[in-house]
Amino acid sequence: MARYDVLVVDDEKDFRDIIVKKLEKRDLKCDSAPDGATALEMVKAKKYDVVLLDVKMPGMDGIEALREIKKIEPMVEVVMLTGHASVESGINGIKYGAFDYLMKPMDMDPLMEKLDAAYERKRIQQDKIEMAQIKKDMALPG
Amino acid sequence: MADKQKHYTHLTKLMAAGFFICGIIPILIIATSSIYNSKQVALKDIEITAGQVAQHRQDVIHKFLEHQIDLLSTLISLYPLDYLNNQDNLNHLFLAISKAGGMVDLQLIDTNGEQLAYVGPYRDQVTGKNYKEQAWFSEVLVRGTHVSDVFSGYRKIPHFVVALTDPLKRYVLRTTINSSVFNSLLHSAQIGSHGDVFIVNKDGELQTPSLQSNMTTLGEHEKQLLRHHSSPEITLEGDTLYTAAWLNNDTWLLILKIQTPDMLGAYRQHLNRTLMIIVITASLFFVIAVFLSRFIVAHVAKADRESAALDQQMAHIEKMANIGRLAAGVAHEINNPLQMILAQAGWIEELLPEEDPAALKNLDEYNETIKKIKHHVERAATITHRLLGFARKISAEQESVQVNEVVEETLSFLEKEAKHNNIEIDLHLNPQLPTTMTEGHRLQQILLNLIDNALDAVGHDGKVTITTSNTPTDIVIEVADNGPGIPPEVMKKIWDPFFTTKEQGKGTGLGLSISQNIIRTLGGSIELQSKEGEGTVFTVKVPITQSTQNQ
Repeated sequence: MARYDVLVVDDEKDFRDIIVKKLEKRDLKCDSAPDGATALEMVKAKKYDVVLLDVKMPGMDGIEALREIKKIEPMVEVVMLTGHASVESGINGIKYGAFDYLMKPMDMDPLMEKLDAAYERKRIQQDKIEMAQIKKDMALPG
Repeated sequence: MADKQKHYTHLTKLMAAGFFICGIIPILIIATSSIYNSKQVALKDIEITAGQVAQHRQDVIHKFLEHQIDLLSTLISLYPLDYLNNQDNLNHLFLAISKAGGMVDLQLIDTNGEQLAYVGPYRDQVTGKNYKEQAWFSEVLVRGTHVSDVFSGYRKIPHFVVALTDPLKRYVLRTTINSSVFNSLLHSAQIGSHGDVFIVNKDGELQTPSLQSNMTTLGEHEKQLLRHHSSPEITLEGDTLYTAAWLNNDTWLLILKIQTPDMLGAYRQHLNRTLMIIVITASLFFVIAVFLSRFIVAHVAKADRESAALDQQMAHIEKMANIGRLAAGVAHEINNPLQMILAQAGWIEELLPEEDPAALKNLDEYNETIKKIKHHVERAATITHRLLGFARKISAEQESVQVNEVVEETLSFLEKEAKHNNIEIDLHLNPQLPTTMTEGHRLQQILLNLIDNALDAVGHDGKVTITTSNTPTDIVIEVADNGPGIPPEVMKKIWDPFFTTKEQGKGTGLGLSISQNIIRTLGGSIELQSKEGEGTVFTVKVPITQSTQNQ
């Protein structure tokens, strides 16, 4: 049983493939999308826990994709991937609701840490919502 | 540069001339009008004096002549002809009246022109003379009185005659008056050492001697003075001022000649003084104009230099920004393949443990190779990250900066050069150095300049020492070299823009100038100490400020 679902969005096929392979080896359920538009379709179709999103892509760029994803599924956590060392795109991502950002090239360990942390947060948020729902249900008379 | 120098010299001259002219023109105008006025006043003064003197002499001579006529008419009215026609009586009367004035003789003549009696020194010549045909005699008989022109006659002494007839015209009483009585009166009327005063008759013949020459008649152009006028008339001709006053029923003209230059002493003094003042003020203005224009042009030149330096600095910053953008672009593009290499190597690393170690005789080699691949990818990543960091810093603003890191990063750019020239770099970084809010890349630019200069100064086989420390308010960075030191004459100009001791084309001469500008904008300071033969120490101080906006 997979620990949680991840969607990898990157325009480079080799990168997607290797990341998917590695994540699946680490017990995650993993899908991939080559661009923002496809990613949106996939987010609409299936509930993912964490999205790993490249900032720089042809067509819809990472920031735009992030905003759209957050519109469709506010609960999903997004980790930005940037080849650009400038803090700006990372900060920009966080501003629009990303969980954190990572700089390319990155090793697997920090990536796993970030993904786990992101999922952890999502899970906590989810729990809170469920708790609130339960409280709400219990508060209802009769 | 030479062209610019020429331009500045030209500007200096223009400004000096402008200042000089502006300064001197009002003074010239004032001085000219003052000189002119002073001359007019002086001339007016002379005219007034001349008029007064002429008027006075005219009155005196008039009174004198009237007095002579009065005397004769008193004799005629007091004494009958019989009495007068007696030599003794006449002698007696002559004695009584000749005491005053220059009366020479007294003569009684009947209407036929025969002499009746005579008192005086010329009895022999006069005796038996008949005057009937003479013009003056008939005039006396017609008009009652006559005053002759001055003549010398047989007496050889200038004299003139006053003659009177009695109311019944029975006889004529005639007296001769030595005209020299006027001389002293006229002498005292002389004004100025070249002045002249004399009496002429209606024909312009001199009646009294001129004081200046022995002319006997007026010159042609002076004859126009012989116009009729009642009060003294003043005419200025060139430097000569003529004052003319008619005497003796308009038959004699008293002429007072004044050479105005004689009387303009005060005016000339004023003129000299004014000229001297003009010369002094002119030279003073000249000096001031030259200094002022030089001063201003020096300032203009300095401002020009500074603005050129600023332009250069801006161009430099822009260049750096462009390089930064380019570097960032390259780094970004390289990062992706690096990521791929790392990921692929990592994948092998992950899968390797699943293989059967017995089946893989080179397992250790694979592991070693993967480690090396990862290591070298990381090396490449360090470079791309530094490039990206460099690009970011070009446009960065205030950030929290650990100066030690800046020093180390700066050194990483220059280590190769130092090693190449066998220069030892001695680092004394204070590990407890606080961070400060400043512009890291700008600080790096300064350090880059200073360390680069230090390496240049040392040349080969030397030592550069970099020390960081802090005071409660400042972070202090010292860059010391054991190079040849800076000579005092270079020291004076070392902060000037475009000043360089490096070879042509090697340095812009802007490094230190820009560094100084930058450190000023960072609120710090830069100082240098140098001893010839021992080396140079540049000390940079950056104020310690803690972030106020970072929560």
